[in-house]
Amino acid sequence: MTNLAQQTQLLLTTEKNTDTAPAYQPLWMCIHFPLLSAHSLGLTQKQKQPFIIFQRKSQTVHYACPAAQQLGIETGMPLSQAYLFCETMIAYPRNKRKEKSLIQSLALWAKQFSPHVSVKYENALLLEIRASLNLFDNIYQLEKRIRNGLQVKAYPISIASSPIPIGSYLLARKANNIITETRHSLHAELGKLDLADFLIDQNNQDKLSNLGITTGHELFRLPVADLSRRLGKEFHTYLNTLLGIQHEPVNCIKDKLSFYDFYDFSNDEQDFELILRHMYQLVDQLLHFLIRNDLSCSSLSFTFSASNKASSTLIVNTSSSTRDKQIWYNLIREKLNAKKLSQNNVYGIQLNVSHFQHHNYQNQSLLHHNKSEQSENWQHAIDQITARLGPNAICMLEAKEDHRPEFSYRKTPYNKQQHKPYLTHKHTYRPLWLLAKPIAISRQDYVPSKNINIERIEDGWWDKQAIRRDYYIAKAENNDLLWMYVDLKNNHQHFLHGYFA
Amino acid sequence: MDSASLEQLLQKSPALLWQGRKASTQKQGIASGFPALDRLLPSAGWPLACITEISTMQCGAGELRLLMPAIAKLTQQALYVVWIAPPFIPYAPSLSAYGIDLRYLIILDSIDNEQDQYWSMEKLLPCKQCGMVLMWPHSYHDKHIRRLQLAAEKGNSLAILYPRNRQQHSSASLRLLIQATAINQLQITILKARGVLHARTTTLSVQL
Repeated sequence: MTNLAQQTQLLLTTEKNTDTAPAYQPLWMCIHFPLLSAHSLGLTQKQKQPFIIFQRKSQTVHYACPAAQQLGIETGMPLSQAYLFCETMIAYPRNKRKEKSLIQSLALWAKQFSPHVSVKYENALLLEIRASLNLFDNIYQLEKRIRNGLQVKAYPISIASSPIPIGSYLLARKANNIITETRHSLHAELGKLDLADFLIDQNNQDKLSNLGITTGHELFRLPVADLSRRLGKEFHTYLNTLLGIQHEPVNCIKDKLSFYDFYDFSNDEQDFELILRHMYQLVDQLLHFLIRNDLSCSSLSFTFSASNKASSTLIVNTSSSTRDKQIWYNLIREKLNAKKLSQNNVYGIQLNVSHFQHHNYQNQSLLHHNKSEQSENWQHAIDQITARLGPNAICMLEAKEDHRPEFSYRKTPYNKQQHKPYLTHKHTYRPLWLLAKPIAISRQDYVPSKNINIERIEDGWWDKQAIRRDYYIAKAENNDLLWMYVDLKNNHQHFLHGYFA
Repeated sequence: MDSASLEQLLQKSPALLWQGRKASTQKQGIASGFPALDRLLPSAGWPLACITEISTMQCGAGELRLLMPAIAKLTQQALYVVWIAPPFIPYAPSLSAYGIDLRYLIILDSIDNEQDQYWSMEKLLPCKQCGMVLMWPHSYHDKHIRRLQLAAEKGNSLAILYPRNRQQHSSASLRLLIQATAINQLQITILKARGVLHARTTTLSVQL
């Protein structure tokens, strides 16, 4: 009769004796976030007042902050009992939706380290990192990058790596910084865990306790057939998966290419420069991402969240995709200035980019500035004006084929790719300035000294905005040239409609 | 230093060395389309990399018609011309009839804040694709003019100011006063120009 440990040893020996080239051995890194439930609610350990997070359904403590733990409150304790230890503690209900949203955003962030990221286990990320080791030199460098990245965001984490996903998860939950690159060493590390650290249901855990099993080593020494008979086939499969005898399927998130990063302040912030600085840092991260993927982008979406759950969005656009840091910095500053963020508190900033373009490399002239460079300057100036003054600040003019002066032009939004044919209207006597609304002129107040070139405009009967006017050019006393008309439909009233500036 | 090398130095960096009245005559300019005016202006046309101030007491004196040939030429060369805070609606059919390519005419007319108007002008002037920026400010200080001057120099572009209230003093490089004397007749007085010691006046015929 063989036990689990012997089975594992047998498997390892078979692997070593294989003559063929070694198959790809996945290596799973698990990043565990022990305080995810607190972070998802915007709570930090720095808060002075003891607080707990409780399971709404079972009314038990899910998480107790260090201050609450010092008072004797433990995870799993009934809520009523916890109140006996501390009457003044604050109890927050657990919000699984927010936790899921947070872990998803962390998974998107982690995609910069590996394309295979999974959120299979609660409060943890699984990254298949074997292929990433070449890019980051070695596992220690990679781990350092991840830790630094999350340290900035003030997320306490524990990390473990092993060839088996669930093995990495169990080790990460229990201890910090364990790297086991072979199944044999994983087996040894798992053996050190207490029985309660394995994901075993309470019923089987009680049965094993009754057998006197308290650690992983003791569990692995038990005969396989005996375990299957006593604890069921499912438990047997679980142990086989844990030791790598059976393959563990892992679904990695397969979304479209996107960038997500965020920064949380420890308190609500109002300082414009501080907020701006952290936005710049997020943009720096984005630019690294763009360079790595040979991409550029034309729109950034910042979300500002406040502790009172209010959130606002800031969209920063450029007319053409770019990854020029200075362009983004300038636009963000202008846009943030225009947003008048100082009236609100900001607790966290998120940067989300979901649309990318392939980066367009341009040949640079060594001697002269080329046309595309000039165009970039112009576009950047236009983008800055749009960011500061809004999209309607810049417009263009278009001439239209209509005899009525009010309808013979149109303002259009600025569009650099306008390919309208070049129109030349041969209206000889049209003013350069047109009044938005014609001004009625009383003959007593104003007498034009000279009338020339009377032109009748009678048009617009089809759209119920018909006009019937006699236009003429008048010279004022100070020699101004005015464009005036007599409204034949309105009691022959004289109107001033433009200036020949 | 011999005279040949001095001449070479003067040609190489004319902006760095003050050369009295001679310097201004060597400055680049864009032909105004009115030979009489070009003869009067030190740069033989609208001066590039300078601030030009055109004052007029009226709205229909012909102050815009004076610039139409230059604007048409610039837009036809695919250079943008920007109008900031115009007092009325620029009438597109008329502009088109003057030969202006409307694809290169940009209007910034919804800026109420004067600081933003100056800021926009300062951003646009250094762009090489920008040929000319026109603005109708209510007021300005020398500080504004100096900043705009630097921006215009950077982009070698034309900067035109139409002050709505006539300024007594201004550090603009070129200051013109325009008055309509009769229909299609403009009297132009050069109040100030670099390299010109006394005010000069000419009368132009500007067709509608």
